[in-house]
Amino acid sequence: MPSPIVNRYAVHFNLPEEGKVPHIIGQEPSLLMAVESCLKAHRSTGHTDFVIEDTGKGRQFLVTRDRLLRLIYLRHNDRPRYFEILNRLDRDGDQDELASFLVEHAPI
Amino acid sequence: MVLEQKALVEAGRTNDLGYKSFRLGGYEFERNAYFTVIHYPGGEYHMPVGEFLRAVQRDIGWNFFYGMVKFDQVFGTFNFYDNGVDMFLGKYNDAWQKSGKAYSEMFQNERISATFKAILEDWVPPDFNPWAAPRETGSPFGRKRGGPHPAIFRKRIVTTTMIKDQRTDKTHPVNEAFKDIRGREGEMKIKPEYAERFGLLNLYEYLARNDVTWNPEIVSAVEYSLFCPTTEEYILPITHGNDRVEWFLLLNGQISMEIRDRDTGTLLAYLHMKPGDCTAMPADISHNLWAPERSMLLVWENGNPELPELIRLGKTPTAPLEEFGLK
Repeated sequence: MPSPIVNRYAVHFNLPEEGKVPHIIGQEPSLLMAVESCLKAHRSTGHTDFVIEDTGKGRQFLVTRDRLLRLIYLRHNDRPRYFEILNRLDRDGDQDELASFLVEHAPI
Repeated sequence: MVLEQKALVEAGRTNDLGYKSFRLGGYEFERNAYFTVIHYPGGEYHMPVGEFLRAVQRDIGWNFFYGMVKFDQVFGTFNFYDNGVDMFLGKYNDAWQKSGKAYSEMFQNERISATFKAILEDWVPPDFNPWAAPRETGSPFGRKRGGPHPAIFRKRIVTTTMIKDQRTDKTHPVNEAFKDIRGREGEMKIKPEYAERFGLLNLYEYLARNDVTWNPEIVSAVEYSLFCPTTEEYILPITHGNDRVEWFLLLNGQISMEIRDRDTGTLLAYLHMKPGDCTAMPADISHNLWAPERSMLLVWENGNPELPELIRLGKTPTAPLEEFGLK
């Protein structure tokens, strides 16, 4: 545990200078759970920049401060859309799609 | 409240047999005389309708339970509590994973819950009780003939201290299989000012009068320590994938168990339990049970909400013996 086949999302802190911190802070089975892992780490540490790696599909999602705040906004104000985008990206898509969706639906 | 519930459900057309279809995200559920057909973006999947309805009933009755509820080796739900419920097809099945057929989608608890309840209300026939053993109820098959059976609205007993009232003939007659196993209540003499704080109840008598199968109900709770006894007969309608260590103590009858790896479904072991046997299950397995005769099983759960996270991060042991520092 956790199985890398199912828990394919690895969550890392991201530092402005050094980039991705190698240590994994969470291993999750879906993008939604990986984002929840970022939010949890944000609540407990105040850190705002993360990298989510999809080891199964070789993708990477950069969760910057701006994106994190928009995700929090969406989570609180429009839960169906929050589920919609993360479910969609779980199957297919990239971080540009996440960014444009957040700009459109989470105006902060 | 009723209107809110309805807004969460996307019901489709009624087919020639009288059953509605239901859409939930990328899934669409329809039933025919014998099968449930689950359409999803990768194709469709079929399950015998009786097995499907028994599984939906448990999933709803337990509010998606602890961790994974597999309806069979392919389809099921994974409870992530406040974060939602993941509905999956093949995600926790080695062959489906490797063939790239696996699909999953996370839903808010309220939405998946409302859809499953609507499915039960529309699809369960009036003479088919999904909680009952096969010998005790009618057939789930055929065209719509009214319904649903009132047992689908039964509420799970979840006490926060302990149950104190014994069941009686009026509401809970002794099950046919337990006519010869009767418990006798003990005696409790207690000062009136302490009456609220103590209780005494014969568990054998209580379970002999149980009106459902495969339904662990919380009869006592001490912080996170939950005693969930249940009566079992025939096959557990779901395979439970643990997200925490779980203990079983068989009080009578017999139960066999099939243990698999939770994430791949790979078979790991068979167990045959006799009365008095106790098993402690690791947090990374799934188990299915079958009982050739009506049996009483005590399930002991740790209800600590932080456990799944600690286990996912590898911060707490997955094997029961390791919790006590043993190997």
